[in-house]
Amino acid sequence: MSGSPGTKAPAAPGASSPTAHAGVDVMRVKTAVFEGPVDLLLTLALRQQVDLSQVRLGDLAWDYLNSIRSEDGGRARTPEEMAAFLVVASRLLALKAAGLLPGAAGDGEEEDLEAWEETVRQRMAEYQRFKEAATELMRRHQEGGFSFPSAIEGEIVPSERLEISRDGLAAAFQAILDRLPAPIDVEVELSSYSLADEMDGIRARLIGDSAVSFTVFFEAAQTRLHAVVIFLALLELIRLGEARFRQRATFGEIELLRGVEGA
Amino acid sequence: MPELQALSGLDDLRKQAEAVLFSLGAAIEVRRLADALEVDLSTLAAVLDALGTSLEGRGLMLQRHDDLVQLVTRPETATAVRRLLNPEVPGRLSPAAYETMAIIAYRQPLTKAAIEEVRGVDCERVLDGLLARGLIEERGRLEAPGTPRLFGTTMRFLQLLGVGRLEDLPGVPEPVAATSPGEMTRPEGADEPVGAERAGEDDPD
Repeated sequence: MSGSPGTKAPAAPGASSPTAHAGVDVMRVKTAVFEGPVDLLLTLALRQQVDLSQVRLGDLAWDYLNSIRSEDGGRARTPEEMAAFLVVASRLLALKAAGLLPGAAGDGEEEDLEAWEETVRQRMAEYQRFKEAATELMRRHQEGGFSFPSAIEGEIVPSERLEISRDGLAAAFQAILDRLPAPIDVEVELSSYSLADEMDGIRARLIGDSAVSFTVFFEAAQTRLHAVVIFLALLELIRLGEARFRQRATFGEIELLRGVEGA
Repeated sequence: MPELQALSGLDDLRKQAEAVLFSLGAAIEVRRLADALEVDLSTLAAVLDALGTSLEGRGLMLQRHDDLVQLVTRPETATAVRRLLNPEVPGRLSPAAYETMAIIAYRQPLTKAAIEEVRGVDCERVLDGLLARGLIEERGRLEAPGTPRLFGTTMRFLQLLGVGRLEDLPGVPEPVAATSPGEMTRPEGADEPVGAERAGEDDPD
């Protein structure tokens, strides 16, 4: 399977199919003959299940423009979303034009549309297959049947126990460092602080299920070195699974809790 | 097929391969492994098949991807390994991430544009996330305007799912219009232990 570029989906011109925008919040259409997402309208029109001659595409375009302008349309549309609409709308226009001119529309044109419809159908089916494959991957992953290489690269601080982003944690620690006086006269006291002692101190505070604020641990820190040692002790406890960080809300307090068994 | 001498040596070679893979503790290119064993690639393929077979029913298995091979633990042993060593294991991913991984797994190597063609939405952030987690990697560039990057899955992706090879994943049938959408065919042995049906030199490596 690897190294089989031949199986890749062909990059057909006009590649954007209506179904390809399934994830995007496309515009909804409300007409006498059809109500629903605009890309579905296109799909049904292609299957001749909706009579496009009954749909005023001009109104549809105005509705779209209005929805962009309107306040409640509110959220900014991305260029991709707008492009997606343009693709669908222009296909509808081409389809309707072809319908209005039955004689003039050459066979080639019809064949093109048929071929395109076929492509659309294939894409839908293909996407569906991948969705199901994705579900299977997720199932397997959740089962937890991992396989490990012999030299396991243990994460220094497993992300599972950091319910906050690493950047957030780093920023919180930086804030503590910033609060402390800058090291102007450096006095080297290498043996002043012990990682083990700090770990014991943190352990003593993590009794029961109570959460302790991140900043509380640094109250005793008078020097940057001491703060660094405390921070390392926190990380070490997390690495060992004895503690975990939590942040309930964005910009909220970062808290330390006792580690969860088997987490 | 292989002459008698090779047959008698196969057992030794298999042990050597196992020893090298064990002591290395990481993925190795088959080319380098062949050099270490002083055999050619086709012999090595037979050696690895023999090793894979001999590992059946054990706590270890072979993992093979692209031109890499590695000795890994079997998925059914994961709980004990995790209990002791607590290795890094990616947590639950987003549905978009699984979808993107599936597309890459079954169609690799392919470009971001090709992935987006299937998914219909921008995949930049999802791809960045998967790259950061080491589940996919860049596999060179497509010789086309802009020389876009090609993506493929990694050994780590196989480890995440606990499978020996990509072929052991349930299959996504080739894009054939005739199959009804949603109909998934599972290749025989999809749930069987790895290597059970390996019959010799079916490996392009």
